Amino acid sequence: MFVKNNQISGRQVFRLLTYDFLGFGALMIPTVLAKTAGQDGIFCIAIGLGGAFLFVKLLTSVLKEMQGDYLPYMKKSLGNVAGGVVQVGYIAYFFLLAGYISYLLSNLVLTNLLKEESFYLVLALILFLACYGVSGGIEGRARVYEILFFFLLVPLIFMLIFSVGEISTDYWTPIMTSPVRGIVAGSYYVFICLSFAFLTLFLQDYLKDAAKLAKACKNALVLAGVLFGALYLILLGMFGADALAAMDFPAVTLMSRVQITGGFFKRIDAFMFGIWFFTLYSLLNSAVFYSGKLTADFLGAESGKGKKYFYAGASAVVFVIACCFYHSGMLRDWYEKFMWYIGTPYVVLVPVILFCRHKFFDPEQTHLREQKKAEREWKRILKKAGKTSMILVFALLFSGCKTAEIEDRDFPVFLAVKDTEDFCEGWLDKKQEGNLAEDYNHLKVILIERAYLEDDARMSELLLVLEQEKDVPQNTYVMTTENVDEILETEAALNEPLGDYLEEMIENASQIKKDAYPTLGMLYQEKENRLETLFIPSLKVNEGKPAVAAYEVWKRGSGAGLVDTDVAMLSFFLCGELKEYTLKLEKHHFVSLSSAKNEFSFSEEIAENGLTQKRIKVTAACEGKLIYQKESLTGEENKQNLERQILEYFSETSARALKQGIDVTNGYKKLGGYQRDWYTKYQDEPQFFEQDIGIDFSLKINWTNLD
Amino acid sequence: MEEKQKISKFLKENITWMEQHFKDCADIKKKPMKLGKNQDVDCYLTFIEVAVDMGTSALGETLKYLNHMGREEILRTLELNALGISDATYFKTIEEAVDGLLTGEAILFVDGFDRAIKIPDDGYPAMGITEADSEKVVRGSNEGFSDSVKQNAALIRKRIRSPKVKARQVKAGVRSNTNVYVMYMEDLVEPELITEIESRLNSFEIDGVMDSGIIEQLAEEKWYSPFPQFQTTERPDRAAMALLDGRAVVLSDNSPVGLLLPTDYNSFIQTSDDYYSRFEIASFGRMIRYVASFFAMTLPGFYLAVTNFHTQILPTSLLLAFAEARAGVPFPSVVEVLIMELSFELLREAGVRLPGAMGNTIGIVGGLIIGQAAVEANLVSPIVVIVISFTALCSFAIPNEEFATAFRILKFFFIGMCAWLGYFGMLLGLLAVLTHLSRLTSFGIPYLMPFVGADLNDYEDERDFLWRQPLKNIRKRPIFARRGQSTKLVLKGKEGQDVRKK
Repeated sequence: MFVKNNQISGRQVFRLLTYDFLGFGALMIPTVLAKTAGQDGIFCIAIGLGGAFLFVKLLTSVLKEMQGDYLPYMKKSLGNVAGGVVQVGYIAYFFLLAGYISYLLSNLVLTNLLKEESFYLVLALILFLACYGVSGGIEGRARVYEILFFFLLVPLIFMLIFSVGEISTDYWTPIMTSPVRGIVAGSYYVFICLSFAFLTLFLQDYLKDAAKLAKACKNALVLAGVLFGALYLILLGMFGADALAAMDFPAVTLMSRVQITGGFFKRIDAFMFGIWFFTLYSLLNSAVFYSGKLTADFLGAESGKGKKYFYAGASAVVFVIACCFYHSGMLRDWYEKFMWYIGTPYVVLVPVILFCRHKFFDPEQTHLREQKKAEREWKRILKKAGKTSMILVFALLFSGCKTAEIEDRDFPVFLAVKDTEDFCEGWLDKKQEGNLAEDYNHLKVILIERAYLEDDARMSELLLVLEQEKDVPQNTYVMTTENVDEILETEAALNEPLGDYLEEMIENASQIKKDAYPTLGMLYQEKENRLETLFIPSLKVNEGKPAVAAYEVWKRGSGAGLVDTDVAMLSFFLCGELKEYTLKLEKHHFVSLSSAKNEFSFSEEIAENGLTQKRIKVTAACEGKLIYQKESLTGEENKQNLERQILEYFSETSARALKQGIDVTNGYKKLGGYQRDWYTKYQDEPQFFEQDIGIDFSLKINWTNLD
Repeated sequence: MEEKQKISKFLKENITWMEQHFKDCADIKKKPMKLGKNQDVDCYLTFIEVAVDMGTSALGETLKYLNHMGREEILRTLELNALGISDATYFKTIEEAVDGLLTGEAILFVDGFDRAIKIPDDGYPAMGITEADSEKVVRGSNEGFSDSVKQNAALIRKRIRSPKVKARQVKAGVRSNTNVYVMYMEDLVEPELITEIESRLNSFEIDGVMDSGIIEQLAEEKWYSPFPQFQTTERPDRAAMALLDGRAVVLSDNSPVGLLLPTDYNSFIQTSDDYYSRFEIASFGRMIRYVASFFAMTLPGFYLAVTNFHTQILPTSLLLAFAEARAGVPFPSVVEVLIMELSFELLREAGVRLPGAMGNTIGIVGGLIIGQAAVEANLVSPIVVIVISFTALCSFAIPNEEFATAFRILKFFFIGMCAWLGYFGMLLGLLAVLTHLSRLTSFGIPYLMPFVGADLNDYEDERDFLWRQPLKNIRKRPIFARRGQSTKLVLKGKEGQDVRKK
C-alpha cells in the first residue's frame, strides 16, 4: 500500500522545474534579447544557461550539506534571527513573483482570449484554482505537471517544427555586432529566468536524494535552454530583430502566424495559448505554494489542514499585489528592476552565504528552534479571508461574459481602404453598421488604394489601428489597386465573396508560393525591421473579374511604386518563392524553371570609369524544361542558346528594376549575413543601396528534356 | 455485549425462543414433527417457505434417513455428524440458528439434542447466472455475476482454481445482515489493503445493504468526487483478472456488481477483451476510449467556445455553415446546447426505466423523430444535434457506466465554463479536473497511475495504458500487486527454459 508521504520522484521534479523555467522565460526572453542583443541573443542564452549551471553546481553543494529540510538548515547555519530575516526575504520574493505572474497571466488571457472581460474576474478565477491546486500539497502539483508534460511539450515542439518552414535565415545575421553591455544584459536576463533553479533547495523537503534532485534540475535546465534557443531562433527568423523587440509576447504571436499544412483549423493561436497558460500557471502555482508555506512556517502554523488556510490567505495577498501591478505601470517597472537588482541576486546570494558558512565556519548545532504552534486567531482571520474571497469570486462570476451569438455576427472576408477616406472613421463606422457585430477573425484580403498605400503617414496610421485590433488576422493578404470601387463592382459577377475569390486566386491559381505574398503581419514587421522588398499584387479588372496586373513594391516599410509582373516574377524566382517560372524567349520558345536553389555573392569591382562598384552575383541553380518549341531544338549548342536568352532576360529585367530603385535580389536583407561592411555602411543610408549596386547572373540549369 | 441463548436439550424451550423471534412471520414455516421409526422423537423444523424444497432436496433426504432410526440412533447420528450430507452446520445458540435460518436454509431442532442443525437447501430465490448487461465484449465469456454472493464467488473460483484465492466473509447492515465477501489472492495482495478494506467496511453501521453501491459510497475516501474510487464489474472474468493483478474484489449479496479495488483511471478504460484480442486492435480501441472520455466531457463546451468566442479557429466556410444553420433558432447557443443535452439525458433515463423493447423504441423515437422535428421546427440547429450525438457516442464508448457518468456530469460544468469564458473557461475547467484527479487516490494508489508515479513500479505499468503492448512484453503485474510478486509471465523456450533477458 502506498501512503501519502509528501514525497515526489526525480521525474516529477524535472517536469515541475521545466515548466517553472519555461513559463516566464519563453514569454519574456525573446523580446528582451531582441532589444539588448539582437541577432546575438542566442549567445546570451548559452551564457545565461552556463551561469545557471554554475548556480546549480553551487546548489548541489548546499543540498549535500543540508541532509534535510532547507529552512531548519538555513536557520541552523545563520542563526534564528538571521535565518528568520532571510525567510522573510523569501516570502517577499515569492509574493511579488506570484503577484507579477498572476498579473501577467490575467493580462495575457485578456489580450488573447477574452478582450472584454474583467481583469479582476480572470485574476480571481486563476488564483482560486491555484489555491485549490496548492492545497493538495506537493504531490498533487507534481502529478498535474507530470501528466501535462508531454501533452504540452509535444504540441509546442510540433508548432516549432511547423514554424521552421517560415523562417528567413537572413534575419539571423549579422552576428557579433551587439555591444558587450547588451550581451551581458541579455545573458543576465536569461539567468534571471533560470535562477528559479533555487527552488531545488525547497524541493529537498520532498525528494531527499540530493543527487537525484540536482540531476533533475540540470536536465530541466538543458531542456529549457534548448527550447529557449530554438524558440529564439525561430522567432528571430520569422520576425527579424527589430520587429521582435517591438512585440510584447512574440511566442504567442508566433502561433497566429503558423499555418499547419493540410490543417483543418484555420488559426490555432487560441489552442496554443494553452501551452503558455499552463507553463505560467505552473510558476504561479510554485510561487503561491511557497509563499503560503513559508508564511505558515514563519508564523508557526502546524502542518496539515491549517496550512490550507494559509494558502487561501496567500492567494488573497497575491490578488491584491496583482491588482497593484495592473493599475500601476510604475510598479511593474519597479518590479523588473527589483528582479534585476534585488530579487535574483538575493536568491543567488543566500545559497552562496550558506555554502561559505559551511565551508569556513562550523555551524552551531543548538540553533534549531521549535516551531511555534499556529495561533487560533490567525486561523480565524484567514478562514474569514478565504470565505470573503469565495464570495467575491462568486459575485464576479455572476457578472457574466457577454458575447454575440454566431448568427448575430458578420464575418467580413474583404476590407477595402480608399485614399479619400479617413480610415479610422471608416473603420469605426463599419463597426457600427447594421445589427450584426463585426468579427474580423476571418478577414482574408485587405485591398488598399495605391495612393493611400504610398502615403507613409496614412499607412502607418492604418497599420497601427489594425495591429491594435487583435481580431484582424496577421495572415490577411494585402493587395492594392488604382481604384477600389472598380474592383468592388466585380463582386456581383463572382459567385462567391470577393475576399474568398482573391484568396483562392492567390493560393490556388498562382505559381507564386503563398508564403511570398505580403500579409498584414509582414507589413507590421517591416514597419520595424525595414529590411525587405515585398511585392504587393496590384489588381485590375480583366473580363469583369479582378486579376493581378502589376505589383506595388513595398520597400523597407514604404511604398516604392509599381513594377510590371516580369520584375516581380524574377524577384520571386530569385528569392526561391516561385513554384515554376515560365519564360517566353525568342522564336516563341517557352521554358520553365523550377526547384531553384539560387546562390548569392557580394563583391566589389573597379568599373570602367575607375569607380568601385558593388556587384551582387546570383547563380541560379534550377531545373529547366523546354515546354514549347516552334522549331526543333536539341543539342548542347541550343542549350547554350536558351541559357544566353535567359541570362539576357534576367539582366535586362533586373536593370530595368534597378532604374526604378528596386533590387530584385532582395539583397539589402541579406547584407548582414553576406557582407558586413556593406551592412554597416547602409544601416544609416539605405536609400543609396539600390543606386550603388549592379547585378550579375549566371545559370546552372539542369535541362530535363534536352539531350 | 448481550449474552447469547444456548440451545436447550428440551425442544419446547427451543420452540418458545424461536417462536418469540419469528412471531408474526407468516413467510416462515415452523413445523413440529415426529421422527424415527417409532415416531417417538420430537423435532422442530423451521425454514423460509420458498427457499426450501421438501421433496428431493438434502432436507427431504435427511428426514427420510432419520425416519428409519430409533431415538438413540438418531441422537448418536446427530452427535457424530453422520447425516450423510456434507454441508450440515451445527449451531450452539438460538441467535446463530436464527441467522442460519435467515440465510435461506432449513433449521432442525431435535428433542434431547442441544444443537440446531442447518441443512442446506435451495436458498433464497435468485435470478441465476445471466449474461452481463454492461461491459459487453467482442471476444470472451459472456457470463455475468448473479444476485447471489456465493454464486459470484464460485464464478471467480471457477476461473482461478487455486487455494490462494481467499474469500473473507463480512456482515454488512445491522438489520439486513448482508453477506459481503472480500476476495483476494493470498500471495499477491498487499496485506494492508485487506486490512484497510475491512476497516472501511467496519467504519459504518447501516440498516441494510441492498447493493454493493451502498458499500461503495460509504467506504470511499472522497465522497464529493464525481469520479468513482471503486471500480465496478458485472463480469467474473474481469474480477478474476483483478485478483491476479493483486487487487481485491468485494462481492455483496443481492448485487450482481462486484467492486474491484484499488483502482485508477486506466483500469476504468480497460476492458476484458483488451487482453483477449491482438495488441494492435486492443491498443487502438483503448486509445479511442481515451479520446472518447476527453470528448465526452469537453465537446459541447468546446463548440460553444469556438462559435461564441474564438471563431478564428474554424475555416470560414464551416463557420458560415454554422451561422447559417443557427439562423432562426430562438435560443442562445448555450441554451440550445443545454436543451439538447437535457433532452438526451431525458431519453437515456426514459430508456433505462422502460421495459427492454420499449426502451429501445424510445431511443429511436427520441433520436430520430424528435431530433428531426426539433431541427425542422428551428428549435435547435443541425450542428448542435451532431455535436450532442457525437458527445453521446463518446460517453457510450467508455466501458464503465459509473466512470462514464463522471464525464457526463462534468460535461455540464464545461458547458457552463465555456459559455461564460470561452476557451479560457475550458482551460480553467481542464486544469481544475486535472488538479482534482491528481489529488484523488484509491486505497493509496494515485488515480492517474501510470500517467503519474509510474516510477513507483519501475515504469512497468506504462506497458499497459494508452496502448497495450504485446502480451509477451507485459511480464509484470501492475502497481497493485504485493512487492516481490510482480512477475506474472515467464516465457519459456522450446526446452522449457526461462528466456527472460538476464
